[in-house]
Amino acid sequence: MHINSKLYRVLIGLVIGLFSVKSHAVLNVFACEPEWKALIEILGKERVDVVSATNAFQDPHYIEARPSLIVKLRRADFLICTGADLEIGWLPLLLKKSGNQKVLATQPGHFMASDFVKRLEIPHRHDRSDGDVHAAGNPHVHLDPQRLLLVATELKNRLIQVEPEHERFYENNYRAFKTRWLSNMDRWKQQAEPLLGKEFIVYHRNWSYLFDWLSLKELADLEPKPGVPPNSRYLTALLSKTDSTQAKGILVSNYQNPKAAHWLSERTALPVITLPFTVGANDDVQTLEGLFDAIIDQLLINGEK
Amino acid sequence: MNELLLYVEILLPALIAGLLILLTHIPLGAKVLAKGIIFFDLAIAQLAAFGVVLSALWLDIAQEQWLIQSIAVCTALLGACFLYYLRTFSVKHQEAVIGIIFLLSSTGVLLVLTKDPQAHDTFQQLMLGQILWVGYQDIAYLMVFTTLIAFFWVVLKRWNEEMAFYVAFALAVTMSTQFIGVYLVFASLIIPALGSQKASNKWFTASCIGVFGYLVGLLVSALFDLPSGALISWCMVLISGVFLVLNSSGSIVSVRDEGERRRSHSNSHCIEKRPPE
Repeated sequence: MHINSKLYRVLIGLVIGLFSVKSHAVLNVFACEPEWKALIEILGKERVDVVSATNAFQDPHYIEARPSLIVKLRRADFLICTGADLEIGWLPLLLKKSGNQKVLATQPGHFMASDFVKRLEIPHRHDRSDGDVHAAGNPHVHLDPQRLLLVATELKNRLIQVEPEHERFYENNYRAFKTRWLSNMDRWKQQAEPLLGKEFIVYHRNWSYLFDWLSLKELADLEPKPGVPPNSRYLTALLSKTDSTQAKGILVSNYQNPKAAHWLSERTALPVITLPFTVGANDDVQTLEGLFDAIIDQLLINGEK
Repeated sequence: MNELLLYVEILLPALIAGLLILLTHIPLGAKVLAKGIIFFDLAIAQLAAFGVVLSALWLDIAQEQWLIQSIAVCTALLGACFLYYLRTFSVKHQEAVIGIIFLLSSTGVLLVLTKDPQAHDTFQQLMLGQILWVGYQDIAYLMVFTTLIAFFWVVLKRWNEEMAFYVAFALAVTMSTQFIGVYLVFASLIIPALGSQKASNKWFTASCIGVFGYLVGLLVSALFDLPSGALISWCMVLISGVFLVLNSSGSIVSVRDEGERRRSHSNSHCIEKRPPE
């Protein structure tokens, strides 16, 4: 009887959940990553209802298929993702499964952020021996505030294209964001001045855009091929390289396993610097602004020495 | 009402795919369990993936899907033939060889990937297929393949039943892993077979475990928004547990049965401890 009543409650909850009708006044947005959820919420405020397919602790390369993902995408009026093959393992399948015409690649409701900025690390030759380089270049464009602003501009235009009747609203939000963001960028640049030209060891090429913006140097990549442990010759070379240079630390992002970084840290006495990779990585990083504040803080703590 | 229909629409292809896969996997699983070579399927699936990764060194994965599939089937068949040749050995030696095949093919993948990490995606797809992504086109493909397996089974059985089993198994596992992933393939093979051990009508019980495992698993995954594949495995284990209890509660337990039950119990324990997908 006890179990029955519990089951009953779960079923009631389900029925209420399934039949509750959402307000149709808002734009339903499906974001692939939390950084794009944050950005579109800045521009769309109360006019958008955003769900993010991944959180800050998940690797966006690969996600587990859940029924709700398909339902959410089917309901979406707008899709915002990184693109550049980052979600290639699941987004095409999800789009096919959802059968939602509004967010197909040819529609204005389909927005791939990295399409609108100059991407780094696009291979010159399409040769497989290059290692894990995406033919489309490095997709992690959100870690450069300049590029992020470009994306915001394009996103604003696209939102207006989808909802022309709300042009004023999006335009105003964008302008407020731009003013704030530009002053933030000045402040970050100033704060990061002591880091100029400093060298770091990275764990996968997650930070290329951040490095590009702050003029930091990537000394070496600890695990150049994701999923494949580096071989001993590579590690030996890495060790001798770090001995002869002034590297400031080893960067890992909060969703990666820091094992390899700790290995190197033990042998070189270089600090392991754990950086938030996107919005929601910890309690202090709940906005895009907070993300860059935290990244620069962390870099300064170790980089100024 | 719309919402409910939406869920039905999403879950239905996955359910159909699961049932089609059960059609071949329940009889194959019973045989695997009877032979005692439980990790046969993991080794074969891994071998198929290894073949694909190897071929990716020379071929363009995106363009030549059919060729890739044929290569996967071929390597799986080669492995199956090798194990067929070893079938007269004692089970513990066979299991050891199966383990080594699994080891070589999975570390082989790693060795090849150092040269070509782009094969990584294909490899993952081959090993970690996800049942929710199945579409109606895939179901057509599954139907064709299932018919083919049945055909091979019926034709080869007349000539050599053992051989027929190994060939059908290699084909079935290569096909199903790509759609539902290694864990769910393992579950679909072993759990219905194990859960129906005590039943008077084995095929009926095994089918019930399989069908309800998929049905309940998919529903619960929709209810609580959890990954479907992993949940189906858990549901299947729970349902087979219920069947085991139901079937053994009425019967008089002889000393021999007791021993058997203990053995099957430790087996099911093993399965439960496997990490979810």
